[in-house]
Amino acid sequence: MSIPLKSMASGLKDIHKKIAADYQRIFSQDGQGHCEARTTILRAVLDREGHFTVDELRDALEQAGVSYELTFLTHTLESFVHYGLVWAVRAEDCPVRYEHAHLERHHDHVICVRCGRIREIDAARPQRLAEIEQATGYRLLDGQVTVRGVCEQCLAGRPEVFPLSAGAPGEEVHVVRMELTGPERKRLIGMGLVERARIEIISRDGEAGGVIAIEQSRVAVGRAVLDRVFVQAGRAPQSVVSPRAVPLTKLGVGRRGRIVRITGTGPIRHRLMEMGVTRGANVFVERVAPLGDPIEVTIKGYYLAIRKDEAVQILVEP
Amino acid sequence: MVLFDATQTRQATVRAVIAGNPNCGKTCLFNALTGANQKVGNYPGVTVERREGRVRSSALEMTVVDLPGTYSLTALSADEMVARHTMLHERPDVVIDVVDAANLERNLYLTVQLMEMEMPLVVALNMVDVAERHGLTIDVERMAAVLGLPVVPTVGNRSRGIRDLLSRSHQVARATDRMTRPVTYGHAVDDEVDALAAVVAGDSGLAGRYPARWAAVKLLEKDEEIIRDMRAVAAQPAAIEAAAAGAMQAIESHFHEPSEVVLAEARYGFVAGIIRECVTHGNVSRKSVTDAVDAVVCHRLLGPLVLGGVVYLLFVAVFKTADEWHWLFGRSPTQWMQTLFAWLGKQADGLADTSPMLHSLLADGVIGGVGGIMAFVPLIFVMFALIAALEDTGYMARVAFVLDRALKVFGLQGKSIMAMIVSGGLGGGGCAVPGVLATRVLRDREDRLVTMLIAPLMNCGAKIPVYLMLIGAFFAERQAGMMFLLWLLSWVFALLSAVVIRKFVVRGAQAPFVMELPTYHVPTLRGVLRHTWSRTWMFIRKAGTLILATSVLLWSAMYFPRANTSVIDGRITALGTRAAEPEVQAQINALQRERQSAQLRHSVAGRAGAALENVTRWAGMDWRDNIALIGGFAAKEVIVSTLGVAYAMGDTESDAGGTLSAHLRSDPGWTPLRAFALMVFVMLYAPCVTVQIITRRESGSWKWPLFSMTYTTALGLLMATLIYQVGSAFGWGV
Repeated sequence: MSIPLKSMASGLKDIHKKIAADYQRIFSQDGQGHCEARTTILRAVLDREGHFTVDELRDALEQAGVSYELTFLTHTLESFVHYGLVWAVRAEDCPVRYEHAHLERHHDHVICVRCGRIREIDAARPQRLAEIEQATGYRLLDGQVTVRGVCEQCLAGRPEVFPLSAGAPGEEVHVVRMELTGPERKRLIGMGLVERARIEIISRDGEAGGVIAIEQSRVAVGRAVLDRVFVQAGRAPQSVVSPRAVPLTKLGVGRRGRIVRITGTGPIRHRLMEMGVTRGANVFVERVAPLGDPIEVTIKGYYLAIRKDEAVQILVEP
Repeated sequence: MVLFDATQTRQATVRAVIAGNPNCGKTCLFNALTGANQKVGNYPGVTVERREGRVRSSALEMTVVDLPGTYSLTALSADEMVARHTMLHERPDVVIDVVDAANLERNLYLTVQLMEMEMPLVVALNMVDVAERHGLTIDVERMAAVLGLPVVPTVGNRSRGIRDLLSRSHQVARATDRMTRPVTYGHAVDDEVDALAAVVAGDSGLAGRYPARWAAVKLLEKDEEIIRDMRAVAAQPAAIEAAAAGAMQAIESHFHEPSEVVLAEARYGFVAGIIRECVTHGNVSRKSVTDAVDAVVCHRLLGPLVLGGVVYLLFVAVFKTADEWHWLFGRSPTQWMQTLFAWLGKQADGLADTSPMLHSLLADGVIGGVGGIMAFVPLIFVMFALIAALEDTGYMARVAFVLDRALKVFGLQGKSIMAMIVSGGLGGGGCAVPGVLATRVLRDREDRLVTMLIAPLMNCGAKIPVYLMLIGAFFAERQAGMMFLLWLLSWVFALLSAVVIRKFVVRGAQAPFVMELPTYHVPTLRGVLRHTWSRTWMFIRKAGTLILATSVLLWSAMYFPRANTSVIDGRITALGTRAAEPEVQAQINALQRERQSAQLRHSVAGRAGAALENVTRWAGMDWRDNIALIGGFAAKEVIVSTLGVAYAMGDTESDAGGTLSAHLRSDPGWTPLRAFALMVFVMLYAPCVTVQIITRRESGSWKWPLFSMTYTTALGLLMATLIYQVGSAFGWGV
């Protein structure tokens, strides 16, 4: 599917000159300043192959002996985009990448959200566009598609089970295990961050943390959490929990439910299992202690008091 | 250790153990089996109580060990570890598995685990009467057939079914060919378990060490102890680990659950099958009494009120029976003990002239020390009895339920409140000795340790006279307010210490709080008394010996070296001829007190007190206070009297209280600030020797009493210094 950009034939140099001349004309018509500088930038852009960021362009110009303010460069590049001389590849959480526009050579991009590598894809546009026109009734003019992804190099460099921090924004993963302790663990379990839960990484906030969606709810989490929650790409192999399942703490006094999963691991799981808290068992919430914790339930015909910290790790179906 | 060695099994005495869930009536049954032939001790190194007894029947002798109640046999808690090691390493001839007939499903989970271990089992279907009342009909014969085990219906508290249970136990112990039915977990799991068991059985290092199928199941459950042991002794540990990993993966990919969950669920599946076959439910509504009681006792508003009442009654009962209720010929039991020891002390009086040192050793050291501790016995007996009764009824679990949230904040749990109250948490006296013992109701080791370490900060009855004396001297017009402040401070310090200890010393996450709330039972008097007596007797025996040693030690510190008092002696002798005249007698008494004071100053304790002045000066304490406080290590009761001696104020307690107060008030070296700093120090510093010894016994290590002594003294010194220095700087109370 993907076709890397082929090297340019030397004949294109002439075209570049023509474009530069075109631009100077258009430019002076629009009455913008710094004509000289902008032309120099355009030349540099036309000489570059492949995709580049503003920073990369600035470095290249500096090596050639000219230096410009970053804002000026950005502004100029965006004006090139406006005139159709340059295409911009924009994807969430990645710096914008530019390439010079080749008239008549439309293509789409896949961009790696982790390392920013871009590949061009020829998405068999004519047929696809015709299909879209037929389906929508629109007459299509132009457009570019940028598909986000994780490149093969990044995938190869990451183990099958990896910490959330090694995930990329937009990636859908499921929890394999958590190495969290204390109140943070309880808070997240309470929000549904349990084994096999589906997680989408919404955004990354650099090294500081990020926003993730646990099933349906969004949570801002710190870096420490991202490093300690281990996930695997894609959904869990078999999701046995119905969407109606709630933590035992949410069931409410006087309500009955059936246990569908115990999400805790280690000693707490053993403890619960030996007390008869197993999948399929029926629980009835008798009461809540005077100070709101623990709760008392009936299970397997006897009374059990259980702290809320532990009870949130029991998912029940009302 | 080889498990199935046929040569070892046939002995004259049958060794039986009783296993079962907590609250299944196990101890009741144990009492019914053994009668009064019991001894109670501790398992070495752990705080788990070991109860052992003897059964004598016509045919043969039988010893019975009552294992701690456990829900399973994983190696996660001290109780479970003890139960499991007893099974594996003591190899009892028969295991009597007590199951609560009214609560079969969860109780049989343990039975299944015992079957996995291929133990020689007899199932005692206990409390069948309760089950019947709940409308359950159990087909005992069918159950025996399905389980492949003898099943005996019993009622422990009425001694029903005991003879039958004994004879079946003998049969099982005597049987040469035990046929235990293997537990089945369903085809998919069974295949993996059997394959792994074959690998285990084929390993030359492991074969015969454990039942192969049990070892296989434990490996699949990722049981750390077995994995460690396997790595150490197996001939080819790598091969076994590979086989286990393969089996685990096969199970997990089939069930999409961790293998230990699959196995636990399979056990419950097995149990559910038995219940379907053997139990029919009637239409009687279950547990109506428990429901009704809990509706009040665990109620949002009434619950805490009831708890407050029960705690108050417990406190009053323990201390009033022991000290104030003169229901036995006009004296309280504690006073009887004191009278007894005072009488014993008098017997030694004959030695006073011929050999004053021996007299002092016997009267002050031995009789004073041991007598001091024996005075606690009635109090401890009552405390144990009431706590045993509360535990037997099932109310103790409700206490934990109601209070858990409040104490969780401080890293404690609901049941800790009992120890705190008994130690003096109500502010009207108490004692940390029964307080530390009351921590036995806590199952989790960490919770228990923390409670044990902070309970002595409560204002026990022995600290009260110090407060009264100093408040009388310096805060006479604000007596109640000061007492309240001291009470408040003791709780603040105790709870904050709990937080700090939890954070830095006794670490580890709080144990998961998952606790059964047993149905209520009426405790039997006999059961409670037996329990109480055996615990009290253990206290007397073990604590008594250590107390004796430390009292002699402290006595020597205050007795040696002897001061040269010949000048004073000479004056006393000179006056001796005119002793009949009242004013001369008074002079003699004053001189005698002076002599005592000089001796005290000269002794090891006195020198230590003077040396300590370098540190304690900043908290406003001088050498006299220090000696009294050193004496207070033995028992806080002696602080006031030692202070009296140090100030040459006469040494009888009643005397010292009054005159000492007046003396200190007029002493220019004393200020209200100094008195307050001293009271705070007395509140906080080192628990008395008895508490330390009890802490040693209950925690299983000297580390904890040492830590307890160090941190409380450091905290006390810090606080007293802070109060004294800040107060002096601002000119408060000077």
